[in-house]
Amino acid sequence: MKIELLEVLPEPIPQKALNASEVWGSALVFDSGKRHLISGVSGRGKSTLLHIIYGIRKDFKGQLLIDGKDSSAFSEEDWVHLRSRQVALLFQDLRLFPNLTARENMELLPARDEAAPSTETMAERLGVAEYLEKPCGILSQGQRQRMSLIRALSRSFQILLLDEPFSHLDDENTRKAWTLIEEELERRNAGLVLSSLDEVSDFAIDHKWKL
Amino acid sequence: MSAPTEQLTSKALGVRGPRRELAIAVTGCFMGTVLLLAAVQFFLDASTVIAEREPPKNFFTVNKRVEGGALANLGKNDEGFSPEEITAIETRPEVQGVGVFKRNRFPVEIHIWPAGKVGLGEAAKADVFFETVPDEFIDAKPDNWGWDENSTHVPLIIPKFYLDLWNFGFAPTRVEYPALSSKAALGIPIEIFLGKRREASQNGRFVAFSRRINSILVPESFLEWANAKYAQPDVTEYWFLWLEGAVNGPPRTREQLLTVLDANSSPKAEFSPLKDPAARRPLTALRHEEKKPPSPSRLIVRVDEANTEALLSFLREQGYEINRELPEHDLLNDASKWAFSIVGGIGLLLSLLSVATFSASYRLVVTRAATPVRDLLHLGFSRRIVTSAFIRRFLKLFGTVFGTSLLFTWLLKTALHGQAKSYELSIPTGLSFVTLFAAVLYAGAFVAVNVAVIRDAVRKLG
Repeated sequence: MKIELLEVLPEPIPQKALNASEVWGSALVFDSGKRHLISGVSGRGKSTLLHIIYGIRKDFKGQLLIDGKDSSAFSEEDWVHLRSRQVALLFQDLRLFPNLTARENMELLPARDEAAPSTETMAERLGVAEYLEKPCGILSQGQRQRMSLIRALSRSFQILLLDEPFSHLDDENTRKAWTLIEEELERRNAGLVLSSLDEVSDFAIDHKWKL
Repeated sequence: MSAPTEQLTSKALGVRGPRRELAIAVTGCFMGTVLLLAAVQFFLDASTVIAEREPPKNFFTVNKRVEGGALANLGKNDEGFSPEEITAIETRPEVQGVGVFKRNRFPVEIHIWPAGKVGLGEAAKADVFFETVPDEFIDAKPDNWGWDENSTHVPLIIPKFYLDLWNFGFAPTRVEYPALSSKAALGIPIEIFLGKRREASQNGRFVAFSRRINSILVPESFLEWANAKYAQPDVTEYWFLWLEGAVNGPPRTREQLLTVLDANSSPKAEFSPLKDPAARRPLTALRHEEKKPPSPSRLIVRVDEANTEALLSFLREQGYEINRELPEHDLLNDASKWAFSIVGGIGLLLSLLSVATFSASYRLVVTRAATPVRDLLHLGFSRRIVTSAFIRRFLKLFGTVFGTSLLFTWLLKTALHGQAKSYELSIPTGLSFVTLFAAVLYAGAFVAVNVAVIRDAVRKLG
């Protein structure tokens, strides 16, 4: 799978952000099998970029091509198919359903990757197994971030979009999470687009862009 | 989508709805549905009752108009139809048959013992008359319709509305007269006294109630027997005797005149009818004068229902009176239509309001769930799946309200059925097919509007 951005400019965006950016107004390609990092300080449009790729924001100039097709011609069904089978996004605000338990949140998916490790296994590895039966509304931000990552990894995808996934995790938990992410990317030969406040030097990344 | 996912979708969207608005919508829907369905059902029932009670349109009775006061009509008994007049009616193309009413020619008094036994309680006493019509004109002829001298009682058929008059007129005003169902009325003993001085008595029974014939009917064999035995000569059977050009003595019967003729006392004797004294004829002509049967004063006519207007105007031109439409039935019909329009109108208005409040409430339900709706769509669920979660929720609530309304309407109908039964009105039990069909149409429209509103509300969210 291949996602291309051709001279994409979101609206509105401050001129300052535009001038310093390696992303806005340029040509970018995200391939499956490759790991991409988008880094930049707050307010430069990291989430905006991921939302554009995920088809949530359509207020931009330029072109978004997915497997060579212009996304502006996509129907609603095309987007439903893309989101349920090909591209998974871990939102910065996590988007868990607070009235459902963590396990129910993991189960509420349009399509599951049956080969993915079980919820229990992943929760065990990330140290949140004991919270699976708790409503997400009462979990801490860090616990919810890990639950949200497990949900993203349970989904069917060829490109995984992670929007600041480690912002509430300590180094130890970040390392465990990254290991799990790498395993899943390798197993599926999937691509990654990771957004982060800073350049993460510990992770093996193929392409890096500054926003 | 699997059932657990369906459940989880609903749970994820399960934010609290606008309770007050939903409660108002539910109440309005319940009341509107019940009123609307009850109006349809009651209209159908009222129509059945009216149709049943209405006299059949292809039969009517004809009589000559009576004019003038009591004094002018004293002694004028012959208001009957001549054979020519009957033939004129019979030969009309619209007429399928004419039956003549024959009646008693002697006084009759009946005593009705509503308590069920002669001598028990108070009897209702009345001077009455009996008539007969050919059997084929009787609508309620029982199998044992007939009489001979060995019969234990005389069967009587009275109009159904006599029983209504009894139940709704007499009985409520007189403590000694109980209301009677048709079945009870068939059992009560009746004493029949015949003749001017009550020369004979017979036992009688009501055997059927007619909606067609407005008279008290007895079997022809009884009437002939009683007329032969107790009949009094009427005015047509008296004559003036003329001797030497002057009326001689009081009017005489045929038998008395024949005695005069046999005595041959006066060969120039003449006779004339009481009504026309100038029409004198020699008394010898009396021997050849046939004894005329009394002419019938009422006729029952069976017609081709579709084509009666020409016949009716012919009969009116002849100056005959026709008993056909009973205005109170039309009044009842009008009243039921008005009641239907008012109740149905209110029901329809309430239903429209409830559709509006229901759909407004559900728009609010969807809007309040804006965040989970957006999140589900962003997780890759289709809009159809999200919409159907709301539709399921709506259907559950509407189904409950609609089912309860239907049950309540059915209970109302059952109560009405019981009430109608106590008034001797026969209406079918349960809700009719038409009402159920109307209910399905109504529910379909209700669901369609709300589903469209829910779809639109979800579409606007993303």
